[in-house]
Amino acid sequence: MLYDVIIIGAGVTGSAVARELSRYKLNVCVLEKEEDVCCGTSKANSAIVHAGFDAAEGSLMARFNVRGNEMMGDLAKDLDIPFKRNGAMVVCIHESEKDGLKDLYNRGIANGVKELKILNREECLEIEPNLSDKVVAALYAPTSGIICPFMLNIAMAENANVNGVDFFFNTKVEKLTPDTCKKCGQPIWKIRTNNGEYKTRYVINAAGVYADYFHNMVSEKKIHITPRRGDYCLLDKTVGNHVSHTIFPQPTKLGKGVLVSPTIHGNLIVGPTAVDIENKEGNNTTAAGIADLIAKAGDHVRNLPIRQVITSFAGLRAHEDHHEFILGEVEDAPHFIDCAGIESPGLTSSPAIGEYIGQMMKEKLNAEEKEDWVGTRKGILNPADLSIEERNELIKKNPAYGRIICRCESVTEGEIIDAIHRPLGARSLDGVKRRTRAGMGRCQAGFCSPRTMEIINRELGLPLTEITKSGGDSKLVIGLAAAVAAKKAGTDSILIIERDKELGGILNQCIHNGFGLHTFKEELTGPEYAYRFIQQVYDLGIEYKLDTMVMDIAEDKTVTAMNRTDGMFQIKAGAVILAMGCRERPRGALNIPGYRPAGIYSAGTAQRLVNMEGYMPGREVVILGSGDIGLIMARRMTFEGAIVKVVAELMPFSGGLKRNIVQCLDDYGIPLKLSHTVVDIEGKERVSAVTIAEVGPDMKPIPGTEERYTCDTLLLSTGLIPENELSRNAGVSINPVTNGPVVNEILETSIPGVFACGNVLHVHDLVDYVSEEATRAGENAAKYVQNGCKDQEGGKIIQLKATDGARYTVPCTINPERMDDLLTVRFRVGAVFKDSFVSVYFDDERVMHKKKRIMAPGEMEQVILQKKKIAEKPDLKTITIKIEAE
Amino acid sequence: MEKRNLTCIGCPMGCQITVEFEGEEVFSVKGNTCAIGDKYARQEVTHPERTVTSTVVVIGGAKERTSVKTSANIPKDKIFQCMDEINKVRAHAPLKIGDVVIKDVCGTGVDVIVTKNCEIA
Repeated sequence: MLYDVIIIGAGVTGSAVARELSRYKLNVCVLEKEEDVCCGTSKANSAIVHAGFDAAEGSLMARFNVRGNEMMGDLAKDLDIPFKRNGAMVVCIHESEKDGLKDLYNRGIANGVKELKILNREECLEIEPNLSDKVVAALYAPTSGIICPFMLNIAMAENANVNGVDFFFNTKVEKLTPDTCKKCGQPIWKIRTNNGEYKTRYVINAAGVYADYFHNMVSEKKIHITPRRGDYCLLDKTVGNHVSHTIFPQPTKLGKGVLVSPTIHGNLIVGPTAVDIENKEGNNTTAAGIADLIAKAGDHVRNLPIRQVITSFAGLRAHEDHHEFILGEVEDAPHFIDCAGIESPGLTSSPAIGEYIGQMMKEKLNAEEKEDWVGTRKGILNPADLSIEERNELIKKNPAYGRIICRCESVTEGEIIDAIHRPLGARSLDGVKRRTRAGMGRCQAGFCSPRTMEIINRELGLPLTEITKSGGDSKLVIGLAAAVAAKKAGTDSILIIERDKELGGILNQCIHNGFGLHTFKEELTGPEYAYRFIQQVYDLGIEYKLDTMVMDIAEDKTVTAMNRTDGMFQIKAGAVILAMGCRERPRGALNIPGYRPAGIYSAGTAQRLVNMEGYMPGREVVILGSGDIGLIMARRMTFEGAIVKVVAELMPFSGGLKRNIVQCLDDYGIPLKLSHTVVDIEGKERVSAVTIAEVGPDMKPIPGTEERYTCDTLLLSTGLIPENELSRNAGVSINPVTNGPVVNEILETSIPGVFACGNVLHVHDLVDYVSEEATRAGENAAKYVQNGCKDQEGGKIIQLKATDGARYTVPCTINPERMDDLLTVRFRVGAVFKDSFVSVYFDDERVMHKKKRIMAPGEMEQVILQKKKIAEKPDLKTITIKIEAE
Repeated sequence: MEKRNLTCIGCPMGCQITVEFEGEEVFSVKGNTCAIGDKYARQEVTHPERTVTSTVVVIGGAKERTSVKTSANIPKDKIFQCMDEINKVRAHAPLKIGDVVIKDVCGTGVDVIVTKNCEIA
């Protein structure tokens, strides 16, 4: 078959051109070497719809930028994708550089940018209070906007596909040969690919960083494209409103500089750096790049909350030597059309480039318009936009919309199924992620990847071992594991809401033993321990709802939840007990440089894959972090035939229990390297090697100490974070040390009647203490419901403080009248202490002084306070817990 | 005479224990703070033992596998043999906590038992 037009590349440019060409009665296809659209430059950029003041006057960049910006509003509506004109500010931090701002303003006016304004410092701060103290003025461009680059690319491609354009994935163009049509005598192109030969009248070269490769294959007039790498950090949604405009520094030769901007989905993005490289696949982040970013962004924005980073990534700009778009037929290669050098403002310009090339092809091919062309498309439904009633209607029709798969971004199973089955549907985890945002939140797919894999497995009939992160060899598991080797306290109406499909929480996947020594005086496995309590839930007839996600807790204790059968519902609770547990810290939060291949798992995700699904994540493993789950997984994977090469721990001490180091590492000769961290991850599709290095007292890697381990898997066990998003939304005060609620002696949070216990309150080492805490929270909640708030009022409050090595206390305050006769105060230490004393001070008087042979951060400590001792001191204001040498 | 430093795994305390022994004969145990430590140290230098936990494939169950453990400790040098046996198991649902899936695994006198209920599909 002879195509009229073949487009090389399904990025945002190729897809825009494809959509425009789909208007005409033409045979068009797109050849893409990756498994999906939007896999190159289009997926990793700032996602800004630029106003157009930056490009040189009279340039193609200027023309297409301004036109693309104009088109974007209507296009976003037609394609049902989110887009917002949030406005951009180019800020000037030196009086002497104000002239540059004026030049930029003049350039913008010449380019046809509307509504530009120069603001003085006061005007700047009025609309953007978090600008840095150095800011003296800014160029303000209200037409600048933010968009989802994935959705723009995907929507244009989907729309083109629905209108008849074929897309061939995993199809890599190898050779282009000019030929002549035997019928009409016109020039045609033969295209050899790894999937056979294609013929076409016209070729459109939209190959991003590879556009020079194809151009130079057919033309003597060579062009050169440099992959210009840009590193980015993405910050959590809790700080997404740190700025409301896109904040640029003044531009330099290397580009627009490091920007800080909200994203269309409510995160904060910081980046990019600009480093010219040779490798067209070199989209790995680097430690230097991320450090550079963090240093630069602070110049323009005050108090940048950089600790809230959830992930970092790098993209490659297709930088042509003359920094200009190359658009049009190549002089010495008839019927070969370039769309080359499409770097920033390429995303913005893409619709305009599509329009221009579309018009050009219409004329060249004398094409007729289709009568039945549909220029609109309906996106994947976002249930969050619906009212509760509408949502319930939807769940009734399709219960899959009642089951949350991605907790962080509240993505339902229904959305994921839609993403898989719609035109050009998702086939990989990243494909699902780019279409639905499942896995893009703060846990970075720790919880949802195994569940999303199950859905892909079911919907596409793909075996789990064939499912990839992003196509190619980025396989996620390597094979089957075996093959590789309050009722009691008198409250009647209790409802347990559980988001998983069974009771027991994370204990169900903790199949190792060592639970319950204190409570049951025997060593149980996680599921056995959980079952002892589940049995009580059954025996007492306590109501529970499984597969049910709490979406919101209001300050008045109205709980909004959702599941497949009940839809979305609200319950006004007398008391609420928060027991949501914790999540693992993802890679992004650690700023580990390198590529983003498949094979990087948090230890808990790997634990779920092995213990619940029965699949092995890999064969050769390096573990970063010596948290208990990491240690347990080192042994578990060894049992199943994997080789665990090393465990690296950043701190000079382990984060896990001593006995786990003995039983899980020492037993199998697995080395534990303290004061070491990962400095590089190799492997583009699947992890192929990890380099670790020793760190100095400043936690920075020491050059020359690098050790490289070949491996296919990196497990992360670098800490747990209590999951308090619901608590925060409810208005509960959070202790910045524990990341859990501030509670009083009855485990009540800052909202009366809302209690907290377990890992959501502070991360525990032993489940026995969790159960003990939970029992107390349950009893107190029952009392609260029975007595109302009556006995909550009045009385004095004693503050509890942790100093000198003690990091925090739970609880944080004590009302001596309400406290039990004996009150257990739990805390952790910040370093290893040998032969030291735990001291308790009542104001300035030391009342307890207990020697401990060893205390370590991985193990929880406690002191027990007596009510009668406290009652003896009516003026007592503060109780302090300290670690003392003598 | 041999001297070995151990970290006790009897509880989260993780006492540092020093054992002096020769062959089967233990001369001294120091550093432990309770009887568990003494017992552990003597055992560990003469006959080290561990509990093995894993999962087995379930036929006809609501889930495709369920978790298991050895009902008591087994000799440390039998762990991988025991794993091989566990990986051969095809257990039929329903399974209840405590059900035996392997009797006398590897001649240790210890059974492999279910640690999580699994209903019939």
